[in-house]
Amino acid sequence: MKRIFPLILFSFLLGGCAAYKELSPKPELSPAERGYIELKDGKDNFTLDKDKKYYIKFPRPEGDQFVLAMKLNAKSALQYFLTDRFDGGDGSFQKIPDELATHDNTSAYLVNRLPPEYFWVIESVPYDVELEMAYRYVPQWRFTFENKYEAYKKILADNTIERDTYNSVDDRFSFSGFAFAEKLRQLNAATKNVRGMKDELVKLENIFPPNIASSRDTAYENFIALRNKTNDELQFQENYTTVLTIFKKEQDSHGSIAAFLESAPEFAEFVSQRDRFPRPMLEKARTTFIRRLNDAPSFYDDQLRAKNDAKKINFTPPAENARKLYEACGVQVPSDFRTLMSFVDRFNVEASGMALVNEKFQQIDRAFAANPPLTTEALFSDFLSKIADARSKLPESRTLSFDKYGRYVCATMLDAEIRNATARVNASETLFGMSQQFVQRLNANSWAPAEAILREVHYNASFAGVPAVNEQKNRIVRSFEGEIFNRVKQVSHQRVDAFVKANEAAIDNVPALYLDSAFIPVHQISFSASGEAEVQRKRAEVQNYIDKLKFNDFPAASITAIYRDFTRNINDRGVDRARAIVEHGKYYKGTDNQIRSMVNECDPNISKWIIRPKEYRKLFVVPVTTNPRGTNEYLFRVTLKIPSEAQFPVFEINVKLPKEVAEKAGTQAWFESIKLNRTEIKNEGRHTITSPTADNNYESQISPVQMDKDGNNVLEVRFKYPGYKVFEVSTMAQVPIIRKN
Amino acid sequence: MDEQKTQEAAIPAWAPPPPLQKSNKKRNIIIASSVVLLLLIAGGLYYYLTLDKLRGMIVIPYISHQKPTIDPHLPSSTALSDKLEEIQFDGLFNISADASGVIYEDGLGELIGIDENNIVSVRLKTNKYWHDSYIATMEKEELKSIDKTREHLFTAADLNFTLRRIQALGSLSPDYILVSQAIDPLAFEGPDASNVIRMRFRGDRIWKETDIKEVLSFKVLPDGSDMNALNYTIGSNAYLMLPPKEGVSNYHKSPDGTANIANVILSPFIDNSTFTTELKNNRINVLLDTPFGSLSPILNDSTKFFVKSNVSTTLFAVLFNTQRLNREQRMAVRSMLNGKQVISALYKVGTPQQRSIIDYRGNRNNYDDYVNKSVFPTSSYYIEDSVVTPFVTDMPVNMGILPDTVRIAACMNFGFREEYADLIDAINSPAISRGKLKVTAIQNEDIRRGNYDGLLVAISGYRSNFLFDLYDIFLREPDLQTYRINLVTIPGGGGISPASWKADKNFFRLDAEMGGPDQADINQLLQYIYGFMATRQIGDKQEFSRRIDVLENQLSLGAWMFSLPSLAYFSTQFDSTSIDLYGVASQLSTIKKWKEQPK
Repeated sequence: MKRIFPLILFSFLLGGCAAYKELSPKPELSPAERGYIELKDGKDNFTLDKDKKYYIKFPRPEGDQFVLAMKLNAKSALQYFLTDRFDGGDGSFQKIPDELATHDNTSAYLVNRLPPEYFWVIESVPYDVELEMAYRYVPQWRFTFENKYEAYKKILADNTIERDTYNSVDDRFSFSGFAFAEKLRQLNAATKNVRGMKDELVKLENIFPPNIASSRDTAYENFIALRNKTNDELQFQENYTTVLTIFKKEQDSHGSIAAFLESAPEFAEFVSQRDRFPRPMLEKARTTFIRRLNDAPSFYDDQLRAKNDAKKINFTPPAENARKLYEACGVQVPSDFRTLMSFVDRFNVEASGMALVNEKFQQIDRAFAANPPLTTEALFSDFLSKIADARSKLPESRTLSFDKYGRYVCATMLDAEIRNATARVNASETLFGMSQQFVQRLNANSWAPAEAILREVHYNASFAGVPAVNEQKNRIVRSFEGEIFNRVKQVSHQRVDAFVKANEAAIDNVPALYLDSAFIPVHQISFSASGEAEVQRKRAEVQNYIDKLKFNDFPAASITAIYRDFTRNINDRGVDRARAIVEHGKYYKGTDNQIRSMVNECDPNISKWIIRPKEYRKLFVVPVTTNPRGTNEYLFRVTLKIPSEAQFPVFEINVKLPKEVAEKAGTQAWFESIKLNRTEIKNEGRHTITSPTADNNYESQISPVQMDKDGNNVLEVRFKYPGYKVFEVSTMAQVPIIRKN
Repeated sequence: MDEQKTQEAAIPAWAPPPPLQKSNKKRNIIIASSVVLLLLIAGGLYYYLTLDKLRGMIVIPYISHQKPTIDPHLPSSTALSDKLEEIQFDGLFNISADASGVIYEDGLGELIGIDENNIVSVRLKTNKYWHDSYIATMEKEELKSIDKTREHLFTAADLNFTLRRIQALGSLSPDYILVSQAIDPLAFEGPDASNVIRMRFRGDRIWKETDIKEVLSFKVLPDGSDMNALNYTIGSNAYLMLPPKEGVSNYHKSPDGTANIANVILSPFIDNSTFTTELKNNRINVLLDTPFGSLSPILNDSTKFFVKSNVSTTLFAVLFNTQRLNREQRMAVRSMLNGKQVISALYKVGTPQQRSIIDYRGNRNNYDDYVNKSVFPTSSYYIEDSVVTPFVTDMPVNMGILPDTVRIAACMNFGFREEYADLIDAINSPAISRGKLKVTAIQNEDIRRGNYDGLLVAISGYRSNFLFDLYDIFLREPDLQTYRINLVTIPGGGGISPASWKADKNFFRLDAEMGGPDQADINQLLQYIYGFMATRQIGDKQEFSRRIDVLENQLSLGAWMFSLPSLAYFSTQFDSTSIDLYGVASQLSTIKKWKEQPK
């Protein structure tokens, strides 16, 4: 505790040193609107000690928009401010700006009735000061006006323009050599000042109390007088500036009717302000303008004559400028100018119509440019709708009926454009209508009607005279031609694909499958814009695909599928499957050796190659007779194609037979005949045909089989079996060896 | 082709009367009948002692001036030579036989197997000794001891040397044909640490174990041997060669061999006329070829002898001198030398002196089966399996085109004296010669000079299998004392050169370069012969055999008359069941299995 006490005391002392001292004037301060009242501490002035801080509470004013003004002797020495909230220097507060900050001895603050009181705070006293101070509560307008009244009077006096010249302008007045620029500069400078003062007065007037007009306040009366003078001077200066500007522009446009007509709306407005400007002055202007308007008709006629397109006429400056000036000047528009204007109006009506028509055409053209699919009905419905719109917008061409202007290039061009547009509308309507019909037929797979329409479109001569339509026709024909071809091809493909898929495993009556209509195109293409050769090419393309399926894919798929089933179980309709494969094989024109091999494997008449020695080659033996319930004859052939260094190669042929074929070989020959190159081999002489027995796993050896080294060596074996089925036989050839024993 | 087997023939029911015993007659004259009993006892003792003296021996006769020389890779003019190689040399595998037929036994190799790439693996028996590892000590021509003095073991180098030699011999060697049809080139990889070698067999057939072993049954010579020796003496098989006596060696069981009978003795004789007597008198106990191949009346005691037939290995033909007889004349003489007629005359068919025969199939007196109608003997595979079908004509002989006498010569000094003697008589008989043919015995020198219109000659040692040797007939130098084949080939695989046929280098006096009306056919025939001999393709052999038969028939180079039956007699000293002879296998292939009857 003994330690803390000195610290608390020190802090208190420091706080006591920094505290603001409130000065309490006597008499108390009054917010009443009066003149300056001295601020006294009794009879004396307050003395401010060096480095001390003070504040004085000022009451709030009696009304809003008041000024608290202070005059003091030591403004420059003291640092002070006014605030509406002060807590001894703590907390936040906002300094109210000094409206007369630069004034030597006066400060003024805008105050109102919102805060309960104001605090005038002296923050710094550089030296001991005896404060001589007076304060005043005064309405803001009064404070301002009173402070600037003299200055305002001076501004007005300094910027008042003499009015003699202005008032002397009439028919006799000549602006020749008149110093427009200098006078306008002078006017502008003066007007700027006057208008600035006027703006201040307006602002000031806005803060006048509502009842001020009814009072007899001198300051207010002075204000009204000054305001009226200012307004009058400013109005004059503006009028004068306008007059000088108009006549200057007219003078500047000498030699350029275009420049004159460019300003014609201003001229027309000028001469129309009869209440604003002196009558003589306006008469001078009208006379001047009428004289200048004489050149207007020829000016616009020249432009028309030079126009070489059918677009809407847009004069520069607009002819309307001249017409309005005529009217403002109170003179009748000349007849040739009226005719010109009528022509222009008609021309522009037709041109505007054509613009709409052309817009439709362009929409169609853009649609074509976007390469849309041309096979949707919606597209051609839209085109036909656009063409209908265009037809409704097509203007009647009447510009040629204008005597003079009807011969102008623009009129001729517009007429031609209308006629062309009419032709295009007609042609497009025909083209798109037929196209729509084509698409409907096409989508209904009505190939022949669709192709007939296509042919009609192609040969329709009416399109030839309308290049844009003709080009579209060509595109449409190309597209339609391609589309009908693609559709025919696609549908033909789908049909034959479906047929192939549905029948690839069929084994009954195989030849009939190849006579099915699926192998004929759904439509024979009979038209091409490129001629008969293209027709034939397309026909061939469709047919080639079908033929590819007919003579390649279908038999290949069938052979593969049936062969798969066949090899999975040769006892399940094996003979039928084998024969179906052979039938398919008759149609197969492909080059897949695997497919060929499958066919060959099932065809008893085709010899199976043995190309390597000692490898057993499995082969299927199919009956060559058809007796499902009796004995059938079986045949298999093998061709020896084994490379040999011998000049006269000889082989041993080993045949592994099914048990059911060979098991009775001991009592009856298992074979009917064995032939080598159609010469029968008998089990005698140098040929040996061993008997297949259970001991040798039913393998029969035929030896020696002499080969023709460079020829075909076909070993043919026929046997009979009381059954109708497929057998598996394995054959192997190997080189016999020379034996010592 | 049917398996050719030799089977023991039954003892014939008929037997000629035994010849008179001259010694007994003398004894009966000199000694009184009172001592008959004593003499009988003495005779029995003599017989017993004589019989017993061949105990432990296999005694085989040979013609003393036809000493056997052994080259295991080349055919020999002496049939015994080809047979002896079997007892002396090993192959990787050795052909043998058992009661059921031909078998192959491990020789210098053990078959491990063949893989899917046709790689044959054989483990070499590197613990086998070459015979020169031993020294045989002789004393007064008797073997005293056989001692191992060094270890000369079989190695892969020996096999490599042998393959190189066979390769070099080419078509001259049947082994080349046999091996090269399976292995080309003749080489192997290895051996590895387990002494296993690997050979790549050709991929054109499934090689069975017997096929592989047959291919690898060629005889192996030790590395470093003379590539062109006349006589190879160092083998590794059951019997080793003893130091020669009068140029011929006997054999003794190798110390590490498995032979049952210790000695193989080659006993020399002047000719074959006494062979049966010598067998009867127990001076020999094996007679591999009896005269005429016929049953001998003096050997009909089945308690003392048994017989085994074999396929023929000798044919008798008259080879025409093409420089003396033109084609038409040769055809005429060929027609006159009708084989059936000749063999009937030779074997005295239908007479009390008929020579009976029996073949290995058990057929008796089937003389027609031995008549040849082609250069390929009837016993050969080519005729037997109808590969060749000889053209037979019975057109009458145009005697007018023949000279007054067609001089046919025969040399009786190189074997088959008995057969030659009777053949000369038979052909000279009017029934055959018709007064035109005159056969006379001449010397070998006359043969060299071509001093004959036709040469009656025995072509012995032929093989009836695929490897029938046409070089032996067509390219042999006309010298019965020296066996030489005049094969001249064109380097670089260009085939046979016409220089192979020069007039003084073959029995037919054929000259492929001399010109003449037969020139083209002669050259063609030469090419066919080479094609037949050099090919390792059975189809080629078959086709060339047909062509050779046809062309030779057209050229009529010889009258191929007949083949000699082959009949072997054995003493019952041996156990007949231990002796298996089959087909074309050498008669001595199974010699180490032979056993003697218990005493």
